[in-house]
Amino acid sequence: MSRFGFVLVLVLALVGCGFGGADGIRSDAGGQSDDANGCSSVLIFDPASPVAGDHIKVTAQVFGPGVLDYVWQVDGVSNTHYEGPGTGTNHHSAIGFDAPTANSHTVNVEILGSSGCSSAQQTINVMNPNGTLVMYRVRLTPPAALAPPQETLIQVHGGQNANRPFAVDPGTVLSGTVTAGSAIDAYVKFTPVLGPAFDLVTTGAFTTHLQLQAHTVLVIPQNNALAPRLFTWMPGMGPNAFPVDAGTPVGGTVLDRGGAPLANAQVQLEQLGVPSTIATTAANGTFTAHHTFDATDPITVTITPPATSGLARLTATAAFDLTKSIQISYAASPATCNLAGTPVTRATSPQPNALVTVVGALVGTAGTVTTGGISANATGAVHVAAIASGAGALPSMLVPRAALSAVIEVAAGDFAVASLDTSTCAAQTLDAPAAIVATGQIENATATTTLAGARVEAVPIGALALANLIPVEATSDSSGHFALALAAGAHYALHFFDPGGRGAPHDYPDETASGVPGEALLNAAIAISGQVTVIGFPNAVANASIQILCADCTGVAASQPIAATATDGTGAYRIAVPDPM
Amino acid sequence: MHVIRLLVLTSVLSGCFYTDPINQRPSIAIHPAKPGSAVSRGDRDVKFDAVSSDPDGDTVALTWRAYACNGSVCDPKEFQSSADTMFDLIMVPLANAAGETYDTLEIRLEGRDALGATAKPSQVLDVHLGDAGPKIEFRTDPRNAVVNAPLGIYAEVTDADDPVSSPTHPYSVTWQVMTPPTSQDFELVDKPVSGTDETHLELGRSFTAHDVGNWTIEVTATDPLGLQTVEDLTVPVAADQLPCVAQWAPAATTDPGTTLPLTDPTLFQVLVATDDLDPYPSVPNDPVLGTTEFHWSIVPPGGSREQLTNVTGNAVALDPDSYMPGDLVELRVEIQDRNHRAVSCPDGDLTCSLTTDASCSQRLTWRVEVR
Repeated sequence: MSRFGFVLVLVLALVGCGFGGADGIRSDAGGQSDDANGCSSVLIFDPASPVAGDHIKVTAQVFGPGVLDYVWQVDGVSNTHYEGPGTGTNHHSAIGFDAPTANSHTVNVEILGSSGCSSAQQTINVMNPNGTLVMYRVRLTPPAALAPPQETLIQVHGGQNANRPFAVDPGTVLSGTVTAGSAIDAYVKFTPVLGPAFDLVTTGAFTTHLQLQAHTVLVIPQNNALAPRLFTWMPGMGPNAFPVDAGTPVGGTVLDRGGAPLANAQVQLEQLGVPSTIATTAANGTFTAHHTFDATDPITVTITPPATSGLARLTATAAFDLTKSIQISYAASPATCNLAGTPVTRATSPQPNALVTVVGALVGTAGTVTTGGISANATGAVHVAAIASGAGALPSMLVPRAALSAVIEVAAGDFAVASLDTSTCAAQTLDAPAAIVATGQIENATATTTLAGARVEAVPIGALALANLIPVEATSDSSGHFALALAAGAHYALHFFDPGGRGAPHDYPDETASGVPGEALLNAAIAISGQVTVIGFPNAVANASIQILCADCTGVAASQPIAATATDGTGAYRIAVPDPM
Repeated sequence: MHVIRLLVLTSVLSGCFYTDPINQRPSIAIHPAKPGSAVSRGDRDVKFDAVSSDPDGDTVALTWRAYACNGSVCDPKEFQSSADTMFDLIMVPLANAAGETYDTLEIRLEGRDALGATAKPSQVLDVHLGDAGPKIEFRTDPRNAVVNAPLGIYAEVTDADDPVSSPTHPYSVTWQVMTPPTSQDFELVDKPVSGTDETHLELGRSFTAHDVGNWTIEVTATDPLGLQTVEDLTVPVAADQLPCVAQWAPAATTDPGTTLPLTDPTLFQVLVATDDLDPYPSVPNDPVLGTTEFHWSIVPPGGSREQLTNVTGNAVALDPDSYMPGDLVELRVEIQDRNHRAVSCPDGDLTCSLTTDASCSQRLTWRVEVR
């Protein structure tokens, strides 16, 4: 028995049932062989998770008649011994070998004499006993005609490369239609219970692969008069028709901070990721949105005021009672400030036609949302944009009185971020310093080699991100040098990586232009490699996207890969990830 | 006399008297499986057939033995034996322990019937061993040959009985390019490779053809005894293929009447772009392959197209909070390989294929409605 007191069968018994277990992707494929005539074989490793220095026993269990003998081969091991019980064939049914170092070994056994089973193969990773463990999410996107996108969690041990073959579940094909009497244009998003969501845009009928598990199907009609609706889809049960309609109306009123009706505000509701239609307030402040929500889960209400109002965007979440009218009121404070005439300059020179976006978050309660007896305070986010005149001065531009920021785009892609305190509405100048060119050199983890062709991405965060998320990117030259033109006053998340796999990505979560490292060292890397196949298809899968993602991040970061690659023509992949060491 | 006759008659009638026929020897002969073909040192799978018969119809048990000889002296012990009808020599030995090359192969065959009678005489076949010529095996970089892109071509030269890298016994290898009728524009330059030892000569060339066609690389290897082998490798050189956007997320817009709702911050990304020379993601550590170039542009609400010149990667994020609900934003990516062929479709086309294969697009468009 192993140190852990158990023996793990490393292959999934559900392979033949088309159900991929918890992760949706069958990793370490090949340990179980199911031949067409009913014979199956399994390799059992003891210990199941060996570390360097262990003695490993591998037992072949064959479920079928007529086995005469076993011929074993262990990749990277020259000395093995039979360790099966008794003598003869039984004695040959298990082997043992020593694993002195952290390495991967592929064990292959030929099963002689069986009318059904011919062989079984399994790769066992011998771990570094002193290595740190880290979890990564692997998102695998095969060509859409073969299988849907899938994800699995893998555990990587510090200091050693890992072999991770993947057998992807092809799932089933759904041929569906979105209708409202007849087929209609719609956006459709599929979210499996386990695995990544994916989407399509259809003009009515569509065909797609889905994993063999329950999915929620979000349908958002292109026609705003029809309410988005969430369906539950089950393999073998459907549905394959997704009818939508106007949904349930809910009305309300929006009042400005003085209690007057606010016209042309946009109101949208959301429950568990399902939006309502977008409603626009009339001159009397009233609106009607349509939804398909249930009565129990929390609902988020978002009010976007007209750009000229000087009001903030309100958001409130509560278990609102949508059988009642929704009353939305802006708080009396803060008052607004008109930035008309504010000069926009760069080094005292006026900047005609500069695009100024004032952003920020209000402190405290910005308003209230009430339905019947349920009331919730709303937060306020400021997002007001205007274009400077030919003389470089802002036109009439109302903004809340608060500590805010101005994102100034002097020319396409030429940004600056300036503080803008409108609390007292005092006259001021918006200065947009020139972009700062940050330079540096990208090197390997030990700083012994400069890396040509490595890349750096600077993704806006903070105030600049509230105006736009467009990144700034550069590739290192032949001596490893890079140059990034970054907005003065802005903050960025820096992501250094090497498409050539000479090191693992190195992230700097929050830097200004002056904080860009002059010497950016990539992290030490380990390689994850393997083969990608689709269950039921004999050929390897080429051009499958493989992304390594953090195990527990959210938002855009959840889909921002740490490293990415694609399978080659033989279905093989190799990808460098940070060594947890 | 009558008594004797009576005894004989009695014995015959009682069944006690019989005459045993005399067992006769089997006969055997050796037939080379390929009569007339030369055998060289180091040859593999050299086969001999045994022809046997027995006048009494008995099965003839065969014993083959193969000896390697230098001059008139054969090794005292056979290097291979067998009891099969066909004698398959795994490999003809090269030299004895003293380093003297063998020049003769002696094949001996004995036959014995079921009663132990041996064929006389046993059969002996002496086979002259010739010089083993060079063998050439080609391999190339694992990709198709494309105009103006270097392709590594490697020749492995082996020789069963001559060292391939001996300073005292020089081995000659020459390379020649046979051009297609339409072009003579190419480069063939030395490409250092490792792996050469006494028995393997590893040679590499970087071959760049500047025109399409079937090019032939001819390698001639001559061993120190003057024996020559010529091998050809045909290299079909194709025109550079356009890159194709193969996988992306989220769903792109292909119908002008449809949009994608933007409800959360979303990363718009090209996951895979296929190309013969510049795929994305790139292939690490390949000195020839590059990667796809991405050119992004955006049409903000109510605005006109702006090129995102600072973005050179495969992804761009959009946040609905940067816009107003109902705003329409159009995000576009166009891809190019090293030959920078312009994506020249009209701006209003959501996709663009510069080839006859409409499924190979160099443009993707996301028409986004902010929700």
